[in-house]
Amino acid sequence: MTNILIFIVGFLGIVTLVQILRVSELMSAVHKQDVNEVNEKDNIFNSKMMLIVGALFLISFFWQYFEWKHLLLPEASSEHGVIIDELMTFTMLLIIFVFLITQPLLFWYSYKYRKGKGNETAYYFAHNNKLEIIWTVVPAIVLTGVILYGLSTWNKITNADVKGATVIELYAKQFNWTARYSGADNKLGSAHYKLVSPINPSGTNALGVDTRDNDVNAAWKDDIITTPVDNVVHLVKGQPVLLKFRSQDVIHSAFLPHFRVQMNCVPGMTTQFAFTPTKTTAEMKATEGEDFDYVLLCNKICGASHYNMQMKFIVETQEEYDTWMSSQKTLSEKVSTQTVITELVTQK
Amino acid sequence: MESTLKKNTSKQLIWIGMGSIAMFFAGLTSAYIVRKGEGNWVELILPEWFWYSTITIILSSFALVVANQKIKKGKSVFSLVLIAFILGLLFSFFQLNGWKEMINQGVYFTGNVPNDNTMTISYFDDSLGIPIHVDSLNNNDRSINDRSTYDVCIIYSDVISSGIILNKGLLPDYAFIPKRSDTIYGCTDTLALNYNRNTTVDDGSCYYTCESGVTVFSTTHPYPLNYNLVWKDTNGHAFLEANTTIFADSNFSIPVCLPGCYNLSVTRTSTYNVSGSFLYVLTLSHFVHLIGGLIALMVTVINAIRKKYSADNYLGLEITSIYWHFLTILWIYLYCFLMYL
Amino acid sequence: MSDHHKETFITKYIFSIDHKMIAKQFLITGMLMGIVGMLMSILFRLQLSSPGEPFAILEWFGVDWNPTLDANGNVIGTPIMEGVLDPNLYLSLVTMHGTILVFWVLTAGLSGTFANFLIPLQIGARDMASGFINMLSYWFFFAATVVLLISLFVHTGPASAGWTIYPPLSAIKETIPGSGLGQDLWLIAMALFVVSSLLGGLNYIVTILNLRTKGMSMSRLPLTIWAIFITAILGVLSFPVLLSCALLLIFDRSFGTSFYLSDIIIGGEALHHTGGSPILFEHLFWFLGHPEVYIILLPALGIVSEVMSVNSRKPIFGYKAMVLALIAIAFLSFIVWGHHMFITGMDPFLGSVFTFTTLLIAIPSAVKVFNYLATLWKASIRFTPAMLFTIGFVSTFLTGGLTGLILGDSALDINVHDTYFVVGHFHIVMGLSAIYGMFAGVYHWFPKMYGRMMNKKLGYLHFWVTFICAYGVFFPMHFLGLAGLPRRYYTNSAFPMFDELTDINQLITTFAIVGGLIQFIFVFNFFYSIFKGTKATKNPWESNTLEWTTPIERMHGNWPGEIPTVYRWPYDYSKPGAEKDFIPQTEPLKEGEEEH
Repeated sequence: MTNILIFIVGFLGIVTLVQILRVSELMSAVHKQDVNEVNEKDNIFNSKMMLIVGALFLISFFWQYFEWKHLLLPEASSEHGVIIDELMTFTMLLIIFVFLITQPLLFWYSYKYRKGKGNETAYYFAHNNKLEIIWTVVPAIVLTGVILYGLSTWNKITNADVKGATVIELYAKQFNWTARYSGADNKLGSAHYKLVSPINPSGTNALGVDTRDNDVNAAWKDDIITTPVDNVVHLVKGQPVLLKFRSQDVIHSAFLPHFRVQMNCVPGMTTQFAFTPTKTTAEMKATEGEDFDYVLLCNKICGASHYNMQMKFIVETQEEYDTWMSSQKTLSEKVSTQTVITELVTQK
Repeated sequence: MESTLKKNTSKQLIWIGMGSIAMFFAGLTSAYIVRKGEGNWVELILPEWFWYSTITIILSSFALVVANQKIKKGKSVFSLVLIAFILGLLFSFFQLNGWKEMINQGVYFTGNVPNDNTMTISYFDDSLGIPIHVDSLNNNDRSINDRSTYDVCIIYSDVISSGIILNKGLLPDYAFIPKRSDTIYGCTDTLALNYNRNTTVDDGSCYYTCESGVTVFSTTHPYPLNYNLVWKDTNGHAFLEANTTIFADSNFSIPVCLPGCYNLSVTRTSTYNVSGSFLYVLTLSHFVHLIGGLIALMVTVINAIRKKYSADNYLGLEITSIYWHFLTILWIYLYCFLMYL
Repeated sequence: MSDHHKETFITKYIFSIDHKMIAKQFLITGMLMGIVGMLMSILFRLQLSSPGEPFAILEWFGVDWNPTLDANGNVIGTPIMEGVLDPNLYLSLVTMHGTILVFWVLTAGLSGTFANFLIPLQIGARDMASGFINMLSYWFFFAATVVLLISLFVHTGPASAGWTIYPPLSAIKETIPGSGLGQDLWLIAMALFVVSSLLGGLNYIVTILNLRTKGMSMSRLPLTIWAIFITAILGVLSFPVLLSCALLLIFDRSFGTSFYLSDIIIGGEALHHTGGSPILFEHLFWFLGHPEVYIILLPALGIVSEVMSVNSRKPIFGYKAMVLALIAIAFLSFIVWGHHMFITGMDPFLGSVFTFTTLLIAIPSAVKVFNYLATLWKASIRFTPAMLFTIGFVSTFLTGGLTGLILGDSALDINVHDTYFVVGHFHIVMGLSAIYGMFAGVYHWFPKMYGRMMNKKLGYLHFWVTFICAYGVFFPMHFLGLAGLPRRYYTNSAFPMFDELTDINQLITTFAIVGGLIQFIFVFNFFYSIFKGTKATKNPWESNTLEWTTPIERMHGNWPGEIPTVYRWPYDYSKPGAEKDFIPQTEPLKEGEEEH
């Protein structure tokens, strides 16, 4: 029934529209006017609209900014994040400056130079080498500055000194994250996807860490893997962290907006990102409200629950961290050593 | 006027089309370079056939060059075009043989590639703690199709003194898998260690004692590889089969006792390396474009028979030639690319 | 050439080799696909503004659509259960919306229409170099359309790995239902589409190079033709790479190769694929993907230049600079693809190089914007609906281009990559700009296409509502992005930090619905005017270019007699000393008159 109603309403709408158009065309035929010829009235109407809508557009830009300013991400909580923010502010101010010059100009010209009384003919102005050179060279110079500033920031971020950084692995899969701390030796034990338990019966853990016990393979022993129950990453304020990323199935992207950190997690390879948190969760709660938490999001389309692939991060003081750390069990305490890595299976 | 225009536009169409095709191959070959740069890449040897096909296609291109010169003088080009066409077919034949050869070498489209690692098989006796029989086997020979067969003999009398009589119940049931055949030879004595309930005919292979041995494999290959192992007794009947993944510098042990002489064949079941797939994609894509060229050549042959070409009207021949030369250059490029890069 | 065979209905309207008819076929197919794509966006916008809430309209859509059946064939569910969209369908809609808009509407619908329509008419040719290839081009496109539409009705749903179809998500059907048959059909459709684009592109280039009428030197070409010419070159060089990229994906999906796949565990099973690299796919894809952005944008730039000049009654400012800027943009577009991949773990040095090349594009873009402003300066603007859309174009091109400075900067990209900031940016700079260019083109050349005028008032209504709503939709998205909201999220309710963004989302959805519905006014105006519009005169806009010298009645061959000769560039508007404010290209230079 509703469908029929919708159909009828739609149909009547179209019929009405057709009738209105017919009437208006007949009217103009009576007045010996071409209904679709753009006349003075149209030019005045549209040029005024240009001015009004242009003004509204610029006002709405400011309105949006002041109305929604508080929703934007708070100041960066990491060392490199601060320099990203500085670059962002610089670039933003630059583009807003250009925006606020060119857009009003566009709407103003559209308003001012409408065809009509007093402006029947345009000024023949085909080219002007001087002008053209100016507006090629000026953007080029400005961009050189932007590029140099951008690249110096980029180099600072990517060439961060990772010596002494705590190594933590983030392992992504549909649709959750698992973290592995490198433990006392600050080295992650080697891992292979074929060792992921329970895919491989002789695997001992869900991250595929190779837990065979021999001279060359000991880094895994003090590794700590987070459990689904307590799936939180703890970081120390001021202590550099080197995050290493792996993925089990599809491409995910680890996005820590408050730290200005983002890196893809790609199956078959390890990626990394180094940063230093500068504000504890408690400090952030004090400024941002009690319900604030650092979160890790997935930022690369990865399937149905992409929107809900999250993990909490806690930044705390060294003492708090140590207390928490001491309550954690290392991998060697949790799992039995692998003896052999095999799958003896029957052939059909 | 009209005909020069037609000539120009047709020629340009084919040139731009070739530019497009070239970009397609540029995409593929740059993917090859990028992928190769990432490591984990098995170098493959191109079959000899591709060398023959290279010469063939150059010759056929040459025939078309001569044909173009002859037609300008108004001479008949039928035989030359036919030669080019036949050489083109020969090229296809060589390509097919090349792919066949690749398959024989164990290079498959899905990415299987030959093994070039050293594999060691040793046989341990737990009670003695020393290897009884060590057979180091170098599996470097590509021509044996990634499947190696070893004859291993455990000198039974050497170990019988320390041998432990094993209850057959300790042997895992799955260790005995008959290969499918109508008559299954083997041991029918339920008291024997190698009793197999699927056996239909007793061939006297029953044995009753066994030391607690393990067969240990190790590999030096940097990546985990999958192997299929089949043991056959002296009568050639498979009595044990296992699939395993062997990691770099790690061992694989089968905790079953295997006295007597047997034949062990080791087949790597899935060593995937994308280098083989690239080889196929590049050569097959060229071949797909070549089919178009062959059809065009065939049309040219027919037109030559019907004497459609003359000194001032040989656009069809010219365009076919341009495309065919393009295929030749493309193939030479691919050949050099795969051979020397 | 003018003595063409008698046309039957089939050869005139269906398997036509007349470029004008093929252009109309492209336009109407593109428009219909545009409606489909737009409706999809409204469906997922509803979900975003009120996540998880039922909507009667969704229920209406969801009835009997792609039902899940039990063993006995009874319906146990649909992707829209009781008016609520499920997450997989949400991703499908997002993917198909992107695919349809990027390829079907803004590539084929825009380039296909105006390249086919304008090239022979504006360069003075009877038809395309090869009418047959041209026809093939359309019918490959049509087949692609059919395959893509069929994929909407596949049991497991259409492709849903995003329009960029990154593997492994797009390669393994267990990761998301849409990567099953839906993705296969997507790839087939895309392969057909690429063939169509290549055939079209070949034809455009050859026609422009060879079939220009006497006097039509390259420096007298209208900017539309220049833009289309460069677009065609871009397409011919970049689409084959997409084909090779898709080919390898097809092999990975169906033939067990490992080009893009490595070390993957899905559903408790380790896949056999080893040694592939998903990043390789991204490189290949964006090698096409980035030029594709300009394949979309350049024709719009061309159309806008032409329409703006005509309606400003003033030559386009800096013709040579405009052409050089087009060429520079096209060239640079081939060496910037890495800016889509700053956070894939690429070599930081490579990141620097791509930042450098990417930001360079701002220079020719800035030149274009300043030249447009200079064209409007001291103009005598006649506000036709087409002119309104060109002004809208300059505005969106500017707004969207500026935010590109942020996204092209590798350091800044870290925090805005894949957030709504990106969605806002590319919808404004590429989506809106190109669609405005398309609207401008349709309003401007409709009289030439159908011999009738489109209704002016409906055009004004269409423009103003579209312009306001489009900014209303996409401008706030920058704020969402700066608040850290990732794109392609089914709902933002899973994170408390995004709770306050719901208001913005509701605002966006409201604008989207109004802006979406107003497009039906355009569609109505279009079809109404085809049959009932007022009759057009031969040169209703008093334009200089050659297409307006052809008779009003459509004819195969374009000009009844000789093709006119060209004596001047196409932008002699308001030239001092001339009788009228426009001098058609066919008018010989007067004695002592300088060309420009």
